Amino acid sequence: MNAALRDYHLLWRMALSIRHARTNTILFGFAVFAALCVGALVQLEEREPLHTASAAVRVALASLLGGWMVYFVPGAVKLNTPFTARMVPRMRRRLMGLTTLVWAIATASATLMSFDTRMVPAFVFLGTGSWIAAYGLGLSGHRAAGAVQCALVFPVVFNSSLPAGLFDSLAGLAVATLLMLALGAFALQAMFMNGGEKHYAACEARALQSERLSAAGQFRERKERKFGAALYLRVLRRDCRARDSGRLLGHLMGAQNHWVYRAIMLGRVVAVAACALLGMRLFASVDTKDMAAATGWIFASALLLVPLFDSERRNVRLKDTAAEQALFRLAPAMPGAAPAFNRKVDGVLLRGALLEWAMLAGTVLILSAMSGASASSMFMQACFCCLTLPLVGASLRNHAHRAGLLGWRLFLGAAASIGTSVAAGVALERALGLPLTAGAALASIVIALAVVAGGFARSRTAPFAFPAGRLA
Amino acid sequence: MNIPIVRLSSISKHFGRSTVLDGLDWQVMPGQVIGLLGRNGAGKSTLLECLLGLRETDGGSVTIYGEDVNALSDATRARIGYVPQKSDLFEWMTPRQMLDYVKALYPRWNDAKVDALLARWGFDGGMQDKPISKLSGGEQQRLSIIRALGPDPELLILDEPVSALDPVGRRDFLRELIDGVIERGTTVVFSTHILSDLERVALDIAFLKDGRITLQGQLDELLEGARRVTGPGALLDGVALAGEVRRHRSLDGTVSVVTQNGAALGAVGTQAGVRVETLSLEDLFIEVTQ
Amino acid sequence: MTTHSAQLFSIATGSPEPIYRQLVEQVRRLLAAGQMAPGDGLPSVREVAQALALNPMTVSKAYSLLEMEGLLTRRRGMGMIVADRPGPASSSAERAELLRPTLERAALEARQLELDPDTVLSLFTHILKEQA
Repeated sequence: MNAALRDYHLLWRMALSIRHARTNTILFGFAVFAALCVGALVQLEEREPLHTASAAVRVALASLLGGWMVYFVPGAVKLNTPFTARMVPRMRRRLMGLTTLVWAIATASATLMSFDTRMVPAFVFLGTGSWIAAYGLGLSGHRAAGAVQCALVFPVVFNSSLPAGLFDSLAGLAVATLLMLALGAFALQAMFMNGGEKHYAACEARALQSERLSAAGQFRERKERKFGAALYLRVLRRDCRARDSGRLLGHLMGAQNHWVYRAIMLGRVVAVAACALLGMRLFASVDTKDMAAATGWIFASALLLVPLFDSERRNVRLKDTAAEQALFRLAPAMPGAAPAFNRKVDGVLLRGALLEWAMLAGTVLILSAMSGASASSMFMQACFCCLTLPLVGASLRNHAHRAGLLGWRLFLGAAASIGTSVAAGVALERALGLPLTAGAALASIVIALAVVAGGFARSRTAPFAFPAGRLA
Repeated sequence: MNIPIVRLSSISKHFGRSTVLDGLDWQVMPGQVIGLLGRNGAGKSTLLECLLGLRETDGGSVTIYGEDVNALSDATRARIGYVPQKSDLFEWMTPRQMLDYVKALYPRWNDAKVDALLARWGFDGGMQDKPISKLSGGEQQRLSIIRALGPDPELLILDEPVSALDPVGRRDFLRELIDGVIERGTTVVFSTHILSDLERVALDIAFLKDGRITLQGQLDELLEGARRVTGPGALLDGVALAGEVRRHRSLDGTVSVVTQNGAALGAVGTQAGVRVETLSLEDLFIEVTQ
Repeated sequence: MTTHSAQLFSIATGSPEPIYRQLVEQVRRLLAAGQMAPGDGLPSVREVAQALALNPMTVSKAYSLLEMEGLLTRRRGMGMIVADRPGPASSSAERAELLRPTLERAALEARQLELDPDTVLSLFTHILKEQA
């Protein structure tokens, strides 16, 4: 018994310290901070010290639990390397035991803490247990993890739509608990594989996952699908035969960022939306249809956030392909002097950005039309699209000096541009009676032209854009 | 006609507070095959990048074929081949696609030679359909070399081109270099750590140390002239030898001096207790770059 | 009149002796050992360069040096061939010069061992008589 507890203690400390040496300090600090914040809010609202204290303690414990889960589970998965899994079976057994123990304690604590609140304890019990299991499954790199996590979202978020009293009966609760335990066992087995090919495959999948979470890895090439790949290759062959250095430069940005793939992705989005809307038109009530028509634009507008990620992706790509850019500098097909070279690079980047923006705007309008929006609603939609136009100029930088993510500067710039456009729209409305959105769109177009012109002017005097980031 | 193809005049390059190149002068004559040697981190890659204009220098000028490196004409760039240290360029394309892609950027491309090299160096059938990222390091390097040789360059710059190749691969590369490149009078500059390859193929050597080219000359002359004179401090201290490169005093008082000019040793070398040895290229490398 | 192939030669990298000198010494030794007779053809510069993966200029330098010493001659259409052993080229003074590097090495060692010239000379004479 003692040996097991010692092992558990050791493994716990090891798993926690994988990402940070002082995990516990961070977690305790965060718990105290959260408790203070929530306590202050509760005190302001209810002015009952007992309530405040209990709320604060609950928040502290919950954030501690959550934090420990977030640090421990990935750490435990990492500790089970293929070698230790096979050669040190005791360690694997202990890891599994520790994880199960931690899982049980976390679920039990969460359930206990929820007893005096508005949350239904049964839901908390089932929810915590299954979410931790799904989290572990996701960390192990299992392919079904995404599907499981999606599936779990619906009962937990939309729990009001579940039949009331489903879990009041013992039978219902027992069945649900068994399902949760089954999920837990499945996740445990996926997290702590006993060596073998599947284990190596899972390790690779994990490495790819964590690489994708980093800033640069987010835009790595993934396995290309057959149809898109064939189409992209045809475009590549055509561009090579045409010997157009501008188009060839576009290929520098990689396969996944090419407009071929963007077109395919948007096509899929439109197809899925078309099916959903068709289903709604045939099966849903009039109220739902009206709601869809009126608010569908909100969801479509979410697509307009994509240009933010587009420009970041381009920036990262430019930073990563420094070696390929060296080849472009030495290629006879490109101009030899810095101003002409930079102009060509900027032209290619701008064309790519405009193309992507146009495809997005077109998709948004198609989606609006499909969801049965009125003409005025579509016009407003088009104006919203114009608000994101200035982002196409975000790729026109002094690439030699600055490469990589723009980060908060991009968001600030986008916010400033949108704010200015809206202010201008308000002013125009007052002065000329122009609708607000039209005025804002007009202002955005002007801002976009200014940004692009400024970018081109800057690149005339800047050093060679390629290799990017060398003077940083 | 002996005007240098590449001329670097007092170039300097700083990275933050560290100086990598410090008032460096260098010239490359047409038809020369020069090996660039230096310790790891001495700045060989930086020097080659500054040579090609891929990096701005903080001072001095670089000209290739008489043109300033920041404004090379198309014709000049069509005569330059470059094999960078990173060999997995365009890693999402297959070898065939990558070669077609680069071919589209050059006015002249020797299809026959490229195909022959692909066949001879093991790029046949299935290999041509794998993306470059899936090839091994050696295969990527071989492909990188083929890509640089495609446009039949007159100036070939190689940055550690064979670091990942096994001995057979390196021998094949040397043979191709001799047959297809040197015989045509191409000027070759390459930096490598593999001294045996340099001894076979390079006629000139340049050592990069402390941001300057501290020693350069014909390899044969350097080997024939270099000597290490070891003897008691009493005899050698205070005796300055012509062409001295390095002097080192060990703890027990023995002094060892490395000199370039073995012929001028004269009386010093014949004293009893003084040992004079010839040096191999590896010994010379270690002594010069310490 | 055999034409030798490039397999005749071998070089070692990593030695203090430059490669062209290694080739020159090899030719000299082969001639001295009688493995190459006057009139024999030598492999072309290109063949040797390809076989040993050497710069053709190095091979060419070795051949030129041997030609200057009179050990090889260039015959039109046949490349380099071993020269007939002409009298003046191998006068005893010139042959003695060939022995100089070995003797210099021996002299250096003798100095390091702190032996006087007379002892060394009598030892050398003794050895020569033994081998005669």
